Amino acid sequence: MEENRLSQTVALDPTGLLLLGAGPALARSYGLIPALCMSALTLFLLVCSSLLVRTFRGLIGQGQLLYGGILIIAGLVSIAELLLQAFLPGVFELLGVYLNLSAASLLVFSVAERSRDRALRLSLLESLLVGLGFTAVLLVMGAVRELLGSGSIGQTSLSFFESHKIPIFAQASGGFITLAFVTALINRLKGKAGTNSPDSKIESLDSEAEESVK
Amino acid sequence: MSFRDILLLILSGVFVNNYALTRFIGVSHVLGFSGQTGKAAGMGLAVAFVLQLVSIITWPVQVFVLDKLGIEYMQTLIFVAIILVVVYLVDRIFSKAAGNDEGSFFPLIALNAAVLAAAVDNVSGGYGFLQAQLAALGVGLGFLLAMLLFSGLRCRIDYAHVPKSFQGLPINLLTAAIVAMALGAFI
Repeated sequence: MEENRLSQTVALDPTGLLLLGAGPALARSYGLIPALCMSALTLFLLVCSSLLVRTFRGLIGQGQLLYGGILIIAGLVSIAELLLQAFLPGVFELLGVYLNLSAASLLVFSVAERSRDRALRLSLLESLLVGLGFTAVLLVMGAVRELLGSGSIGQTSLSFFESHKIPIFAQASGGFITLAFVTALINRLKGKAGTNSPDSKIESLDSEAEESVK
Repeated sequence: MSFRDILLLILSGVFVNNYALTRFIGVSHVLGFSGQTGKAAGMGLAVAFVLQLVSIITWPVQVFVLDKLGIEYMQTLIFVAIILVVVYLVDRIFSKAAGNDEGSFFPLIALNAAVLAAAVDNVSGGYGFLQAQLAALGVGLGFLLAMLLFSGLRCRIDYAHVPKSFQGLPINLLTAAIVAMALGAFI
């Protein structure tokens, strides 16, 4: 079966991964601890959704992949919600509405979709690697934003940075700026700037989604 | 509800509480779909339309079913199921009306977090039915505004000289930062 171009992008291109996971990455990267919580949740969703989509692939036909995949992710989010509420209420509060919104995560869905037609071990490994990559980026963003925006790291104040805060980094625009520099750094390291436009990545998901509906 | 309240609810969704640019909700769609103004406007309108329909359904479901039965913990799953049904039906209807089976970008809206966020926010914000619909209208218009603003800026970027490492996503994110700063003036 011809693989989805977007899924390939997700696995091979960290910039594509960042684009798909941009929402939660930006929303919960204002500090190291929220970033850690969000990345742990994403990792859980990535691994479990890949596993479940792969396991129930007989029940989820190619035509229902979009709907089946999203429902599986929503179910996992509900489970995570209940578990966090019961055992880690602090984390539940910290994630807020973004916990629910993980059910509509492009990143999680793309990786789960890709795992449908792959070997179990391979799909698990891939989701784990994508999750760890996302975690690394989120932690870097969280550390940078917290250090520059709030003058602390993991809620531990650092006197020099506290007296030289740049408040914009704690705000929405600071999230965009930090992610821009992270992706530019990745582009620089990969030496392939601008070869993958965001449009092509999203649009290929669109075409895949249309195929799934049919 | 006075005219002032109505205006406040809508404008706060459009400017102050813009999902994509101040809360990063649905930002992937804004970054990825704003290359062409026509497509950006289409996507923005489609999201606003689906968001409104979903909001009309989810509010009564929450109040008369989930709250009554004490199964609020099923909210995410039920809301996502409603979104999927709405997206499927809207896609079918529009495809038939357009006379083609090629589909549209409606299925992608199921993965737009703004739709789910609006549904969740409407019930957690304690809004009445009418207030919830006005808030959803504001969110939808805010998303459309973000798409159009961003697509306009990207058209300009296409003709600008951008350092190699910043081409593509990084420059788009920096553009989003500037738009977010502009919207920050309303907060």
